[in-house]
Amino acid sequence: MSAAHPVWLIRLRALLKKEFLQLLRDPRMRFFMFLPPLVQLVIFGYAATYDVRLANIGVVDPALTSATRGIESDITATGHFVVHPYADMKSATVALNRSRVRAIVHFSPDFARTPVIQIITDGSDSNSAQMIFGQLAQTIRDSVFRSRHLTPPIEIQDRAWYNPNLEDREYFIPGIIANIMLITTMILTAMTVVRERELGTLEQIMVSPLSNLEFIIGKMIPVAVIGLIDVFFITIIAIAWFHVPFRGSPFALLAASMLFLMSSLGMGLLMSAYSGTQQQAMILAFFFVMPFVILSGFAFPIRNMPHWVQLLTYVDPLRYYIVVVRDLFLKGGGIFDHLYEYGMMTLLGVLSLGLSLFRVR
Amino acid sequence: MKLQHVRAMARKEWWHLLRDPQSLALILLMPMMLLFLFGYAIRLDIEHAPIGLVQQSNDAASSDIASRFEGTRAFSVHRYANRRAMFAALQHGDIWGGLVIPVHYARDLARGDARIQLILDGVDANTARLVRNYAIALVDDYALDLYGINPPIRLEDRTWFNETKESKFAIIPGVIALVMAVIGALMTSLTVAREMEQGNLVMLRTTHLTRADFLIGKLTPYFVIGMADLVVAVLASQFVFDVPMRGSLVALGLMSALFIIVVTLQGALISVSAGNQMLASQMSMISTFLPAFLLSGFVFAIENMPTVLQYISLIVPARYYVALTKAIFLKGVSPLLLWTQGAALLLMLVVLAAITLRRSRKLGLLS
Repeated sequence: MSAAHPVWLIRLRALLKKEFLQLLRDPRMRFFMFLPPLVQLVIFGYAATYDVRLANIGVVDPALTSATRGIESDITATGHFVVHPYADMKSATVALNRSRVRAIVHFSPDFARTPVIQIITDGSDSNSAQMIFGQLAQTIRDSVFRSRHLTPPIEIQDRAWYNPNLEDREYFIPGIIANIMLITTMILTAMTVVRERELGTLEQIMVSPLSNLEFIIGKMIPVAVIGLIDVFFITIIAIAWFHVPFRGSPFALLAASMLFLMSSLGMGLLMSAYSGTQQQAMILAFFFVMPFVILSGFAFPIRNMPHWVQLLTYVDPLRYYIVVVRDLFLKGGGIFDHLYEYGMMTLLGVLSLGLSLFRVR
Repeated sequence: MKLQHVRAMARKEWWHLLRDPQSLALILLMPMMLLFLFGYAIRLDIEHAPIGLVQQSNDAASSDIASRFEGTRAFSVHRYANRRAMFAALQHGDIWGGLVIPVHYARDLARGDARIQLILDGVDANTARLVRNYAIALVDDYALDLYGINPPIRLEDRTWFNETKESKFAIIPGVIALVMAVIGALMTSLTVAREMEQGNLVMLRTTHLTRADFLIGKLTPYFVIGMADLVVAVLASQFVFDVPMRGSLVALGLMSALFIIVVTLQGALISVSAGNQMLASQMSMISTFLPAFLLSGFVFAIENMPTVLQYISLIVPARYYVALTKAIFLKGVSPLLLWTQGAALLLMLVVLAAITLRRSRKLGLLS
């Protein structure tokens, strides 16, 4: 070690070496820090969708007229539905009850004179129910027009900005990236200080010349490095495998990830400081991770939440990170487009790190 | 296996839990907090969705269709003077979509060929689809009225099990499943690893305790806590959120007990395999929370996923329990569903118990 290095750097370097060794010594730990995020992105990238592409539906048609048959064949022709005919409502009801079909189209018996079409959907999945109802109703209306040889007089021409095919994947994948980051890093940090305390090695560190700040930095850097490597790889997979466009600046993503890590690691350290055992730290971390995920706007849009819940989302670092990542993927832009989000993440990071500085020992 | 040994082990684990009332309080608070968050924060249905409207001509036909949009509960319409002002608002996120009724709308309508433009903010694809569906339905209904088709065809919208299509009702039974899945596995995942890490196992090796005694004793307190969480969650769902309960409470209790055993075993297996708490925490986080959240059918319907994933979801225990809770709360469960899902959980229980016992050989306890 040359004399040119300041003492604190030497101490920090020693601590970093120890921390990296401790984290990566176990081959299973190495595996668990890098592979699952990738696998998770692939699986959840496919799983997270609200869109109904193909649904089994039951049809009960006691009228048996050419008009009802025409509607049925138009429903099949959309390619969105697999139609199962049922003789009566009783058997169709059983099918809906057992989730064998997700909706029932029920024609009135005297359809020629009083044409009534009931669309019965399964509300235990309310979102799919709305989607299926919308598609069925639209198909039936179109079919009615066509059977009378009319063209619909008004047509809605819709165009979706940023995501022309309305792919759920493009909306969810940036959010999944952020979630994986939060879950991997916050818990890891929360465990790392308590671990020393539980195993009694914290006392050894306390008698060393290491300062609080050096100790915290030494604890944070390895986790932050792992987090950044994870972000790098999952972003590549999102682009290469899922073909989610990345329209923004990679530097902005790096900056956002670093600021997000600062707040998520800061909060992890804070939890660490308040718990005596690893089990406590884990429960505490989890107590916060769940609301962070729910309130982040990842699966449930924040703008649909009641006002007082929206206020809670302001202390959720994931909220800001998801906005930035999503915009960088879908809308483009650089660092200057998200100064507010960067600022809020910095604020949360500084607050939590500052607090944990006081509490750690 | 001796009951006395199991009891002693369970008592020791209880003490360990009670010594830390803070964590115990968090565990019992967690279902309440999650129910509140999910119950109040989540709306997947739209009501008063802010959309923009540009009406480029002041004739009667344009005003007529515009007033239709203003009259529906689904939308809250904001008028803009021109397209550019509306697009700016859309870009800024003030509105979720924008309608343009063009200058020649009335003339085109008379010819039976009118067009209305709808520009959506596609980032949130689900909301965009819902807005589009509502807009199309509204215009189609209007067109049917306009043509005066005789006899008029009536489309009736009936939603069973959840008549008002409230996403709250569809989600809360799933939240209960999520809470159970996570608490059961997370908490137990650290217990065995802790003993291994701290070297207490060495002492246990000198006793008459068998592997089965050890595991059952370890898991029993967590099972009790899981059941307590269930009671809290069910009470809250009934009295705070007014979720209907159409099935039998006995079925819910039995199936929940089965499910909690499965997830605590899952946690125990993680714990034994990991051997240290740090690794165990990572493993349990990865294998419980996100799968129970995303692959269980709790928010994202399994039927909407690609086929391969539908098969993968078969190994997620929460999947069966979500189906059960949704059925028991909202549908009133059919015996067939009860048996198939129950059998799947039972099979998981047997398999997990066998693997855990085999894996725990390395603990060095008597067999």
